[in-house]
Order: sequence, then C-alpha cells, then structure tokens
Amino acid sequence: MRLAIDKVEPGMEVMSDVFNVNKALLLPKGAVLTERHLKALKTWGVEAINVVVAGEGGPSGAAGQPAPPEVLSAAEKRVAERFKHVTATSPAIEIIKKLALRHSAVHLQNSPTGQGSAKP
Amino acid sequence: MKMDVQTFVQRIGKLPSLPIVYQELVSAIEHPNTSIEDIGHILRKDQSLATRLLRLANSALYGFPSEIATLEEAAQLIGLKEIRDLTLATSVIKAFEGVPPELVDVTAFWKHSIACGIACSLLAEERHDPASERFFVGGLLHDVGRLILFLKAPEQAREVHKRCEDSGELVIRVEMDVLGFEHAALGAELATLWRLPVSLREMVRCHHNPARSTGFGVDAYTVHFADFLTTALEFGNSGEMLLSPLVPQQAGDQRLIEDDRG
Repeated sequence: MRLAIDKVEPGMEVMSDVFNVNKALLLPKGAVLTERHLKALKTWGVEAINVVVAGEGGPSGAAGQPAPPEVLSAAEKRVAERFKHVTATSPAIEIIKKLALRHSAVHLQNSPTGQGSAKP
Repeated sequence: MKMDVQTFVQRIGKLPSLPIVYQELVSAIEHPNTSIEDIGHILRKDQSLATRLLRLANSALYGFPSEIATLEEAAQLIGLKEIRDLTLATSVIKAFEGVPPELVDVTAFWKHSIACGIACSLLAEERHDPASERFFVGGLLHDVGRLILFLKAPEQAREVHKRCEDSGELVIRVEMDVLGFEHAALGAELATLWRLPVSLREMVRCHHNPARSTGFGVDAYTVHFADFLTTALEFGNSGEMLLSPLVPQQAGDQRLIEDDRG
C-alpha cells in the first residue's frame, strides 16, 4: 500500500525499492524502516512510499511461504478455467498466467472457505 | 430478437446522461483564458460532485502528503485535465447507480473497471504517451455497454448470462447471438451520445478487437491488454469471468509490451 511519508511508521516493511530524484537507491525492497530512515526519506523529499500491509502479502504470498499443494492445485484449476478460451500462447501470456496463478493461490490461501470471494 | 446497435439504442429510450457541469468544464478547459478560480466556480455548482472530487483528491490514489481543502487547490495540484477526467469518472459511476444488483455486483464491476483504468494509464505512462491521463477514463469506461444492457435490457442480459453459465462460452460471443451486437458497440454509442473524444470512443468500441479501430489502434490495444490483465488477476468482476483471447499486436504498432523476454 502506498502511504504518505508522514503516515509511515518505524517497523513497517518497504514493499518496493525507494529511489531519490536522481534515481539513486535509498532503500531496498524488504527493508524494515527505522526512525533514521524516515528522517532520511523526508530529507530527500520523498513524499510517499510503498509499504507491506498485513494481509495484502508480498508477491510471494502472505508470509513469503509457498502455498500448500492442495491450494496450488485449486489455484491451477481456477486459472485453467479462466484461461480456457486463450488458446494461443506467447511470452506475455505465460507471464500473466504465472501472475494469475500466484494471485489465485494467495487469494485462496487467505480466504477461510478456500473458495475465494469472487462469484462464479 | 437480434438487431443492430443503433436500432437497439433507439428502442430502449433515454440513456443515462452526464451532469451539465461536465460539458461546462470541457468547454472551460478548452478556453485559453480560463482560470483556476473559474474551474472552482463551475465545480461548486454541483455540490455532491465537488465533495466527491475533494474526497478523491485526498485519497490514496494521489497520496498527497497534506490535506487538500479546496477545489482550486485540487485543480492546481492534480491538473485541469485530470479534474475533468475525474469528473467524468465519478459522474459515470453515479449515472449507473440504478443497475439491478441481482444482475451484477456493481461494486465488483467498478473495481474491475477502475483496475483496468489504472492499468491503462500505467501502460500509457510506460511508453511516454503525452496524453496518458485519458487512458484511465478509457479503461474505466470500457465495459459501460454491459451496464446499459443490465439497466435497459435486463431480460436479454439475463439470457446472455444464463447461456454463458450453461455452456462456458464467452459473453461477447453469446451477445452477438442473442442481441446481434456486443457490449463494446453499445458502450461506444453512449460515448458518442455523451460527445466524448473519439479516442475514448475507440477505446470502448474496440477493446475486444483493437485492429478494428482506424487511427486509435494503440489506444484500443492498451485497453484490450489492460482488460486481459485485470481479468486474469481477478480484480473485481465485469460480468465475464473468462478471458477472451489476447489479440496479438499489429505489426507497425508502437510496442506496448515487451513480448520478447521469454
């Protein structure tokens, strides 16, 4: 989630690399913010940054753990159904499919029913 | 009962309209002598719109570090064209408030549309399109034809939905069968009626078939690709859970996506 710098608190995790205006890296993705970082970011004039919010999950899933096999196979089924009319293949489609699978797995893992909230 | 889209539009009667303020805003922005104060003056005529705009300006969408208190401030910080497009966006959402909830989850519908709009503007920014701000609106509006169907032809919309559920066919194919036209064509009719720019109309009209657009192929492809992406990643729900095939980019088009990385 993107937060204005005055809403960011020490202890939060940076979700994506933070750069200054000269495109120099200030903080790498995954860094846990300290009071000193926040001061530096403000000094550099950074107005807002992306931080990890509980439940939102990073790209690798809620806690960075791989999904259990039953969730993965449910996600695979879901994605296959969704893509059933997409018969052609290309590098772009493959990448999107992978993203969809990851997204679906995180979604299924986080929903208590295992069915997800989306309607059929 | 199949018919062409123009006949359909004539038969269904009055379509939702945009607030007068929007057209005033469009002419004001085109006029070189318009001041920020003039814009504030126009927007304040519609209090509910003014409130919605301020709420948006203060939302995470922009992430400004401090609160924006007035419309003038918002116009200055966000820009006039962006204010115009936000006005259109929030007005469209309001115009379709009466859509029957049993036919479509309106919140999920707009979630899909907004996600698509954001994806469109990111893609346009990525290739440094000078008019990237209108892409958000193009993405937001792309499925508006579906809403017209839900609102004005609920019986046929239900029939389309039922057939898709039973057979697993794509909505766009069944629409052709049941109605004689696709929701994209219907959305484009609304864009024409609302006197929206041709580029927006083409983004709506050709979002399932960008090659059909003359002159706005890249714009239409942007929406096509963003729609594919947002549907694949299940952002909201437009009423179609299945992906339509991703059309390959036309040779000679400015490349939208790096498709050679493997």
